[in-house]
Amino acid sequence: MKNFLKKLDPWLIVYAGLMGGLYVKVAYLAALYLDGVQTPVSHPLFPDFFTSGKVALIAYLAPLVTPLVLFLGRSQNARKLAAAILLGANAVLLCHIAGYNDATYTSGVWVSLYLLWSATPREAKQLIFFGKALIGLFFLGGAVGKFTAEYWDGSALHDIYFMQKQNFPFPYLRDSFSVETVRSMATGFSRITVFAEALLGTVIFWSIRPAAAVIIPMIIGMIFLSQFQLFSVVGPLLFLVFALILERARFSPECRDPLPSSPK
Amino acid sequence: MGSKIFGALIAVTYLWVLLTPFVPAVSLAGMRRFNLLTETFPAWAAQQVVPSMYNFANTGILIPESLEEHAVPVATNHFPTRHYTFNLRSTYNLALPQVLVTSSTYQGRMVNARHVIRKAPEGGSEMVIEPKP
Repeated sequence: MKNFLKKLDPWLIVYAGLMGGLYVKVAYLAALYLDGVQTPVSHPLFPDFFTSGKVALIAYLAPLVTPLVLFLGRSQNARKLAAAILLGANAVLLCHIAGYNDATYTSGVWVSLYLLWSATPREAKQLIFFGKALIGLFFLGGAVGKFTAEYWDGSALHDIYFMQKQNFPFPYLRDSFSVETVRSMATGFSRITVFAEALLGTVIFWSIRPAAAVIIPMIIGMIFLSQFQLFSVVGPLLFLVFALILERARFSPECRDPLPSSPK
Repeated sequence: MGSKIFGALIAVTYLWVLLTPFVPAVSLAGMRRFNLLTETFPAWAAQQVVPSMYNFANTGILIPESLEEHAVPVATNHFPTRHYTFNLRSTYNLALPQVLVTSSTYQGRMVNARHVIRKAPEGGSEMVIEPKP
């Protein structure tokens, strides 16, 4: 087990999660951005650069060079370059009219920053602290925006999930229960969601193992409920949790050998 | 990138998030961000790093102007303006001009937006913020 853990590289786990998140919806997003090249749109808020269809398409495809950078470089600098490319691409898409609404790029920017920062070797304690801070920030950000009557009475999630979603279990619930019962379920679901997100917003104060025991099932549940649509947003965070567990395990008293050396 | 800079970025974002329920100016800024009504692009872009999944109670609908009186905007997760911007515009543009009516609500405060979307003379389309006549 000790040898197995030593072979895994937490940085690459986080990187793989981020790349997986970026390209899990590749068929849909590539079609969308290609369409955007043909049909430009202007808006008074956005500078021309951030409405250009070509810019969005290039930003979306740019991270595909990073595996090559890492394979050829195998150094700290290669990791920094790969992380910088990911950061730039995610930042452009996050502020672009084609991508601003997709929280994929919010995760992308923060996880890229983590990769850039952790490309320089850091102490495990620091890596775990900053990783937990990022994960907590995402859940807290989700929670505070729901501290409003529409989420406490469940009406917002009732409409978005219980009325509009076409994936299991929502059609089954609509067909099997009365309108009032479904409405009550939505209220319960909404309150549990807000409570769970607020709780996980405090994860920076938790040890990583109990935190992971709660966060991993919750993220997997979110992924399944959304039919994998949310993987692009929370998938990178899930892989970050895996990497933090690995950091913790490798620096536990029974496994305190030095890291397999990070690339120089 | 140093730990101090990274830590400061995270701390400032935490602070902004934590102020949201307590400072109306912060939640209003968030709702204006969601409806693309922020005054300047840098002010809007700076908020984009704030994680805000399923924030606010949002509604939106894209509809011909002639039907606007009867429009019933639908509940929408995240930015309601995505009803137009996050779709295959080549298909949606066939029906232009259209009106994009959106709103966000939080703790009794509400932000409304109305975009008119027209075909642009040089091709593609243009979104213009226009109050209801």
